[in-house]
Amino acid sequence: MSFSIKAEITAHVKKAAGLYRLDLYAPEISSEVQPGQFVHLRVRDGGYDPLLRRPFSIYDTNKSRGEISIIYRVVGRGTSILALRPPHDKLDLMGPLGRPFTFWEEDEKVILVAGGVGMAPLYLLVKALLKKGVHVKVLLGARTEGELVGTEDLQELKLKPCVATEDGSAGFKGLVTELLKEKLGENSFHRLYTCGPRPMLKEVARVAADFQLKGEVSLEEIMACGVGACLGCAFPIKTGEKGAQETVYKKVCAQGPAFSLEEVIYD
Amino acid sequence: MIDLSVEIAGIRMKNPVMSASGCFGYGREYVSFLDLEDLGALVVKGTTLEPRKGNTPPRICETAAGILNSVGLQNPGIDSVIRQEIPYLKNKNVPLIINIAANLEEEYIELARTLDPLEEVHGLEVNISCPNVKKGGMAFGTDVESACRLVKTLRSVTTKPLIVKLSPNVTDIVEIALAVEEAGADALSLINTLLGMAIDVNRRKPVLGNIMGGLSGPAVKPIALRMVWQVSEKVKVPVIGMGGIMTAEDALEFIMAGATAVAVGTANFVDPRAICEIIEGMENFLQDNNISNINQIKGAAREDCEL
Repeated sequence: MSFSIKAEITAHVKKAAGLYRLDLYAPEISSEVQPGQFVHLRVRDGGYDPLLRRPFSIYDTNKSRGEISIIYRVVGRGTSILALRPPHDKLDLMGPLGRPFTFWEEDEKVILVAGGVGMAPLYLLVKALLKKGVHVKVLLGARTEGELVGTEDLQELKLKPCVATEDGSAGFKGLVTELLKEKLGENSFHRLYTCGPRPMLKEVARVAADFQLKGEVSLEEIMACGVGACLGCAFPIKTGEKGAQETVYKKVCAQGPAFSLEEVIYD
Repeated sequence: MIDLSVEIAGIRMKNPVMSASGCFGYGREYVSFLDLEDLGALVVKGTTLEPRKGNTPPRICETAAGILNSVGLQNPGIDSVIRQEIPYLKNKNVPLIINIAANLEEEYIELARTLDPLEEVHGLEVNISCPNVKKGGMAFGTDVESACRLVKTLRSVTTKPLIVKLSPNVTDIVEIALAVEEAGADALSLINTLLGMAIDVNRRKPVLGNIMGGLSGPAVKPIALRMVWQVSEKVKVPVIGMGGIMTAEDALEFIMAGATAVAVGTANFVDPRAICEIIEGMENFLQDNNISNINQIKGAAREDCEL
């Protein structure tokens, strides 16, 4: 079930330069959402600039308060306008939308790889996995310390994320995918979940394949409808058996955003 | 009691607001947000004989008050639509119109033949105006002779109401409208999207994977309205007006220009309840203005304007 509602902003906090956390009172969505799903929102009511909604992963929920949270980076016109919306304003919201991450009952140890704001769909997943008693290892990567997302929130869950920054301002100096190789060499995991920039995802998928580790990826694409009607957010996906594979376009909004790591064509 | 009902080519609609093809999927996508039975008619996504993969992404680009799209008719093909989608829509009390698209005349004919026996299909909208496919599509809609031949042939293979969807990417839309009417169309839909493009200056490349795409949304409304005005002056068959309708007022403009009904496309992406809001707004307008029947304002803006 998805809803179309007006949700009051209960908090809107700047976490770092260009990085915001937005809390919304949306009890219908808060009680329905599964990890990996998103909301599609209008950054302002009325007017045609911008015309389309913007999709945001649901980062966290507070069910007792009926709240959901999103984390976003200001990247363009839509997010610039959103960043100006003060608490008590109401946002036009559709959600929860999309195919959530899959859980496998047999999984005991999983590894998550987040690139920057790619942590957005993964935090709720971490919480759900911990609740199921799964051992969770989180790798966070960013260009620089200020772009890391979720470090404190993970610490609140008593998790110590392994951090990699390209400039070495925090944790391991280098790419998070190098850290991933190291971790996969040291320990074995039953599953990998990831979200982040496309070159990172491509490398994560390659490394995971080397270690014969299966998993899921959350994809991002420009969207119009958000419900599978317009076919605007199509992403190339491999289907069929090995040897007789073909490429089809799947809808990130409705057949994703969670896809199996191996089926996505990253270039 | 306000009477919003209209009739298009024998299809009775409880109100004049339909979904625009390609902007409402197969209806099912929107049932969380509205009751499909509230629509005047449900026009589904352009469907081809064989499945279509669609164009290379990116397929969407937001522009000033508009969207460029280059989806390229991705759809599962008619057999799958008959198996997977129509049974669901069959039990809904809403007229169902299937939009058919093809590269070749033979494919259009095969589609019409396949759908002709299906009682639950109330009409066919013939897409001769898709700007996003290399062969066929718009090629039929921009050439008077091939459009006529196609409509004549379709007329001979189906008894279903034929609604022909016209392209705005022509010099004279009235010429093609008249020709298609003469060939046997029961109604005309206009407009499809306007061919356009956008360039990413940082990458120095077109934004859309297919380079060009169709422009829709509020940006195209004045052009669509002008074309509906011009066409409805000349043809006798009903005109379904579409192009950037976002509000009840927009819809009323099309009706007052001479359209019998309207279709809502891009607005669905902005507000999944757009169609219902528009119907309600039209009803309120009639009520506030003491008009009991929507047909009373059809072409109202034309009075004293006729040349």
